[in-house]
Amino acid sequence: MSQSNPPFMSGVPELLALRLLAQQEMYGYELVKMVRLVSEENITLGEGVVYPVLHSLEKSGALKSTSRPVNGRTRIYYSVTTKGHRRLKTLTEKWKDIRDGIESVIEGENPCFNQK
Amino acid sequence: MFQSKITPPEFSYLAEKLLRGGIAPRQVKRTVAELQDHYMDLYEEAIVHGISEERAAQDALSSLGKEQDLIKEILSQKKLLSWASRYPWTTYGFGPIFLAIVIATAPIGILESLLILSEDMTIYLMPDWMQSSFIQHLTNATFFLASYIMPIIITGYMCFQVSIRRDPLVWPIIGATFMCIFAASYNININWPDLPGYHMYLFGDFNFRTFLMRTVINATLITVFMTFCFKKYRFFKELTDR
Repeated sequence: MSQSNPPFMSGVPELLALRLLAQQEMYGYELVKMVRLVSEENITLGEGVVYPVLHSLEKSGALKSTSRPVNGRTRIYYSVTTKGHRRLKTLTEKWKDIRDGIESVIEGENPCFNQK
Repeated sequence: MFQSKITPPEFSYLAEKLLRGGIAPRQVKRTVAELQDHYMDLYEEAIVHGISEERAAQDALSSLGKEQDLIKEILSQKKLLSWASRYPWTTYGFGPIFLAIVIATAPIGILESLLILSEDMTIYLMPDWMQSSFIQHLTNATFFLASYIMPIIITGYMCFQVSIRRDPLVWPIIGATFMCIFAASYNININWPDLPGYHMYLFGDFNFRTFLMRTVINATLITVFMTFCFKKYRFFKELTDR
């Protein structure tokens, strides 16, 4: 992928998709553009990768899709289900824990080192 | 919005790899359709921004990502694997046998249900024409269907499924073997009750020589039928490429 994400980004596309689709239903292309926009281009997904993530979330019941004809093309719009909202909450909490942990390592003085 | 006349890539390599990886055909079709739409969106947006058509097409393909990475990503999503890929023994082995049992016993089951119903209602529901001669014909028809026609139809259907799913050829062979054995061992006679309130009874006898002979007949019929299909239909021919 020309703009692939490093391995530690695993799980992030799922979180981003749920977070953005919880606000507004979108189709794949719109979602990728929205990710770029809200992350101020700090997160750039390999654009094709968004589809397996969306399909997998749909299979697990976190998303539902509806197809609609727009400008002669059939668009598949995705929106978050109740189960998806629960999944989003869990993922957000987990991600915040990880973020706090990393921040404390990067920015904080580690008392363990001072004890030595 | 700019409406282009170009056609998006077919993603045939990706589709083939996904099918062979066990993704359901419907899922593959949908993924390809969405990727094509995405490609067209990227292309049209680039054209609107004044980029040349050739460059826009290249950029759109590059933005979607390398096919290999995409294939890897999709195949890593276990939820997208088809039922047949996850449970091939059930799909091609036991499933057809279960279906065959249902088909072979359904007419008898329906008649027996009518008998039970007529007993409960204390009237004899069966019309005159539905007497022992009818039952004899039904028995013969069921026997012929279950023994010779059904194995061919079910094996043909399995081959069709294997072909569109790109599953290994070994599965319809296993399924066809099961079908031959089941069909050869199917032997049933029905005795219709003469009086209302009585149930029909079924009996079957087993003779190893007859069983062997019918297995050979079934295997020959299936082989002839499949040879015909391979010669006539392209998707069956593809089976032999694997």
